[in-house]
Amino acid sequence: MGRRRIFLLLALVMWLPMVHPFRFPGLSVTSSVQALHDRIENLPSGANILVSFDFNPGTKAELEPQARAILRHAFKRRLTVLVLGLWPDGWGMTQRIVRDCAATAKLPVKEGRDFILLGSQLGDLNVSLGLGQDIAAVFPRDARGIPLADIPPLRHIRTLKDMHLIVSLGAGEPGPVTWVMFAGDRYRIPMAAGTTSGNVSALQPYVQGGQLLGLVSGMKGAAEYEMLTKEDGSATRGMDSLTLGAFLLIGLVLLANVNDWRKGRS
Amino acid sequence: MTLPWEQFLGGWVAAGLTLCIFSFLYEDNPFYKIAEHLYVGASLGYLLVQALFQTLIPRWWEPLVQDPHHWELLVPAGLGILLFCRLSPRTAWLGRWPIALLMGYTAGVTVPYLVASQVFQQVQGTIQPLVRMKPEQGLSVVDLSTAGLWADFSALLLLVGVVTVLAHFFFTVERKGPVKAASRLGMLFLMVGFGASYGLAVQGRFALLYDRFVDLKEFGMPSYRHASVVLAGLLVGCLVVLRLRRRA
Repeated sequence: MGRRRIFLLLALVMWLPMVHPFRFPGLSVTSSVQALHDRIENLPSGANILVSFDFNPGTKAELEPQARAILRHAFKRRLTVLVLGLWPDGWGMTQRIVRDCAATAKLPVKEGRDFILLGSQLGDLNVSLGLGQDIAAVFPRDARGIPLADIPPLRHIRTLKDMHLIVSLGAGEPGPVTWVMFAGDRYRIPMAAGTTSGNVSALQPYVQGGQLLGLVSGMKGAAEYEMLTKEDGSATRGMDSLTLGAFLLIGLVLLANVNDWRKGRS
Repeated sequence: MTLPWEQFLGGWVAAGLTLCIFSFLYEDNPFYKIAEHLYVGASLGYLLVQALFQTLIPRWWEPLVQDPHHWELLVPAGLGILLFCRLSPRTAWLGRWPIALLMGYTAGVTVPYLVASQVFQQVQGTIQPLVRMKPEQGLSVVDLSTAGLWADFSALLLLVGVVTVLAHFFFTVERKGPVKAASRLGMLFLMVGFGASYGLAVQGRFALLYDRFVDLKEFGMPSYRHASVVLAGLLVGCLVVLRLRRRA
């Protein structure tokens, strides 16, 4: 089979569930997604969490659904969410995602009260280390240009040590590993991460080592989180296409191997 | 519903560029090249502007202009300018100073955290206790539940995997007897690891493809005046013309 036919077949197979969704059964929640969900669920109302968007539009397909699911959950739990980014080219996208989540939240969510967009900074480890000493020194103003001292929740949040949880959604470096090394491990702050499917194996040892309490992996992880929060989000809708695509690929690999084996025998 | 003009235009541009990139799956063509070069240029330009307005102006320029006593800010600026000296072979040696400073600072700050996070903590995570107590029922009650036994199995598997993979990379010991067996088992673990990584990477690529399809579907809606459909038709037409001209 020529490669063009394979591309066409893959496109058809992945497009089909977008027209006629049929929801594959059997999606189960992994323990690391459950752990993150439970931590957010059990935080008291008004607790502070920091969500770091450490990705750019190149990996938004996998990380945006995760970000939306986690933010919706945090807003629902009435947590104070601080948002920043270590990848400057993803900051425009970050603001759009957060403000859109706030606008579509079931409860009224207000910028400056329920969430604060701190900004984006270059200098990975310096940002994490600086935030550990003084947030206002690293981000003197929020994304709207308001000094942090004039934002009510930030009168009580001075450093990373005032955070109850840090969630880094990252596609590489700087990202979750930076946060684990310079914030989670250093200040003993509970940490969780969301990452792309391709990056999971690099972060799994941190779960094993107890440095990450939870890890959300790719679009499947986002779908699991949506399942826990009982929301029908974009990741849940995408799982049909991903599953069919994977089935097609497995089928083609098997077919090619059988074909090779038959050729070898003849 | 009428869309704001910038969103409408953005939809047409996004749909057009996505289709131009997809056209590479048929064959290499000028539309793909245009989209590829635009992507590289726009990404770099956007990153530069973001770095300028998010970091350089608020963190360096504004403090310097607002308070002239911040003279210490001139030091990193001077070191940054020295980096450009590398462009000329005669002044390239000046560029070594900021690089040396960066390397020394980064290594000094990073190494202690790196050892703590990536060596000690992870070695600790590799060695899990096989006998698990049930604290809620008293410290002497051993956890023999299915979950507890499964955790024991996982801990053992992890330990065997780490030890045998390390054995696979012992090149100073002759590979015979138990070392050979451990090395082969380690290779099997590595193969499983590579297979799982490949599978996960494919899953990630499928997610990217799905995301593009979702956008194309949205831009094919009447609110965007069927941008995806119109542009796909135009692109196919152009590719056919190109092919015919090449044959002629």
